[in-house]
Amino acid sequence: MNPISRFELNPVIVKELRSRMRGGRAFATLTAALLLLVACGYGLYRLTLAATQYSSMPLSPQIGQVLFAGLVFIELLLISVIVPSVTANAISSEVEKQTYEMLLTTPLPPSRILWGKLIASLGYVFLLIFAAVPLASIVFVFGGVTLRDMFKAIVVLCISAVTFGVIGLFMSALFKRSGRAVAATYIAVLILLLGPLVLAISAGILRQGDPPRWIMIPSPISALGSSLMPSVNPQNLSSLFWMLGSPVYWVMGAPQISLTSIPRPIYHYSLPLYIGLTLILYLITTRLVKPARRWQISWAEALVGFTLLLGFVGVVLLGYAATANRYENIILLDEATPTPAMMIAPLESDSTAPPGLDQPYPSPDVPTPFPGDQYPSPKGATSPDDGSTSLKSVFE
Amino acid sequence: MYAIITRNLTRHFGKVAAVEDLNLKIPAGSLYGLVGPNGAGKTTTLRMLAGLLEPSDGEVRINELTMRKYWGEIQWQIGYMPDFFGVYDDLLVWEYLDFFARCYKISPDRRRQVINELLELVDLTEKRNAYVHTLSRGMRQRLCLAHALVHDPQVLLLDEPASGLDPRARVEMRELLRELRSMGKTILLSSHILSELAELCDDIAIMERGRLVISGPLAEIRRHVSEHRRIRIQLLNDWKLAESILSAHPGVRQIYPFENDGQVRLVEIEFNGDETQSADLLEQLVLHQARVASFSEVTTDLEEAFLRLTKGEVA
Repeated sequence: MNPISRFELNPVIVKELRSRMRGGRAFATLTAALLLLVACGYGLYRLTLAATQYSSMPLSPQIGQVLFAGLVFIELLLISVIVPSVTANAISSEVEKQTYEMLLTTPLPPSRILWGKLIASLGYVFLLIFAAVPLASIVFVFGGVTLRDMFKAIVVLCISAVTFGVIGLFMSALFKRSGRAVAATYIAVLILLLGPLVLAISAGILRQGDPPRWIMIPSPISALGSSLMPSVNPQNLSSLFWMLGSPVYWVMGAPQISLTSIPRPIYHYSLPLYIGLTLILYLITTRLVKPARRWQISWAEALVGFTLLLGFVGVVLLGYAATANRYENIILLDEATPTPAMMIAPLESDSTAPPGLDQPYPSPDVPTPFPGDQYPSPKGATSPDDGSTSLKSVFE
Repeated sequence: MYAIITRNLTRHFGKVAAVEDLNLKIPAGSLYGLVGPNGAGKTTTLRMLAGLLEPSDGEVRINELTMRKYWGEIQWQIGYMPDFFGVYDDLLVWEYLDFFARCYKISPDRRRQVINELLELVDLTEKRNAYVHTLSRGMRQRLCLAHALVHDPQVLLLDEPASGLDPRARVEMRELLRELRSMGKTILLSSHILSELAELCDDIAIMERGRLVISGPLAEIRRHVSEHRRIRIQLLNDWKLAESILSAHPGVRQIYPFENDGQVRLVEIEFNGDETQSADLLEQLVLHQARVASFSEVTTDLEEAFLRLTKGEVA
């Protein structure tokens, strides 16, 4: 066997793509999603123009930011609607169609079956995300958004999609019935999306002030919002989020910003949380898809799982450590915000002069010295004032 | 050399014992039939042999390898066809086989060859580019059999391969199984219809309520079943004479006379003995001037034997 033919695609991926991508359904879904994005984009453009009609013409970057934020949030909505429907029946439909047992008698390990299902279904979702990139690029015509912003938004969208997908697979393997699995996945995704925001709003009402920001970490909405933050001005989005106004501000940068550091954006916490959740659910699901000896975990498997989780935690901690001097932690807020160094400097005063020796008034013919020259010298050694030095020498 | 050996194989579902203390020895290269009424534990047994169910107790050996320890190797040696199976709707026939060939890591050039050979074997060559869901039931059954053969397994586990097939498809399936046996494969198939297996199998095991009732070569089972043979005798003259001879004979256990217009012309006896003894009986009747028009054995077919053995307790 030559080395090239030894590399084989996962058979499940081949099969899934063959049956999923054939015919008009996949094409029609993609077209419908893109048309929806186009319609929403145009609507947002008109809305931005209309909202500022009586004050002034909106600036082009304002339109760009509103369009960008609107499009990525609509894409998040699309993902959270489409992903559960394509992943939550991945395992259960095999069980229902009575093909699962034939699949399990083959030497294909269940973890590869799962992997193939995940890649095949997410492949379609990624196609959806990336197909919308050229469309979203229209914001660069208006400006106000950088390439980096778009990259960050796409990363957040992709990781959210993977998380939703693994939740779907987990439910599918757990319930083994498509109906229940799809319902459970939608409920889980809905809780993940809106639960933290509802909690944050309730906490805000109860406290009569800003809620703690960490409440909003699990929500992909706040992760996506915070990823837009440094360049997209939340003020510009008020027309977009008129209903969720205050949560948008909380998400996008509520706490006081000191001069040396900015608060760590919420997505810095959300993304590790999603990846961790994905890893754990994936590991559990590889057990759930086994027909027999489910919970007999061999040492090798346990070691692999443990190393994977430990490695992940390590990478996340390293990432935090590497960026620690740039960001302030929003979770550990008990430390006082450090005061910028340049405000600390002029503290020393004349009290450092020897006791009993008052500094004499400078003689009228000597020009008043520049304060910067005078203050940092506790002993007055570098002071240009000749009078005081001569007085000192007289006493000695 | 035995292809499949089970030792005290047991599987409980909660408190219900689906299979209990099953001991089977299936010789390599044989066509072995597993018979029993619905719910006898045939499917459970086959699923355990295919590694889809963990036995509660007991041991399975396939080609002298214990299942628990050598499952990795055994997987390559068995092909399993479930009793109820589905097909992937959106795939073409050749893609369906291609998928399973990929699962068994068959190299691309070999794959094409295997698929063509299998399609020819199960007579689906002209359906190669048809969608799987357009196939008839019999074709699907054959396709499913073909999928189990992709990796050329030594042992085939077929759960009700002929269920739901019309007579023609049934004959075709039977021919196919004979052909597979001639290739040297060990085939274990289950059915709830005994006559179906009787024409095909070398050995048979009859199960009921999770237990083995009887097992062995078909001829042996037939003999065991026909210990109480029935002989039908048609008489032309005096019944009383014949009756005295019959009731005096030690092999006759029961006499069932049929009366017609006050006269007995037809009698059935339950006879315990082999063929020479029944010939002796006929000789005696003739010697005592009984005029015998016919003397024939009522062939107990296996169906009847099956009913007698399984007592119809499950059904």
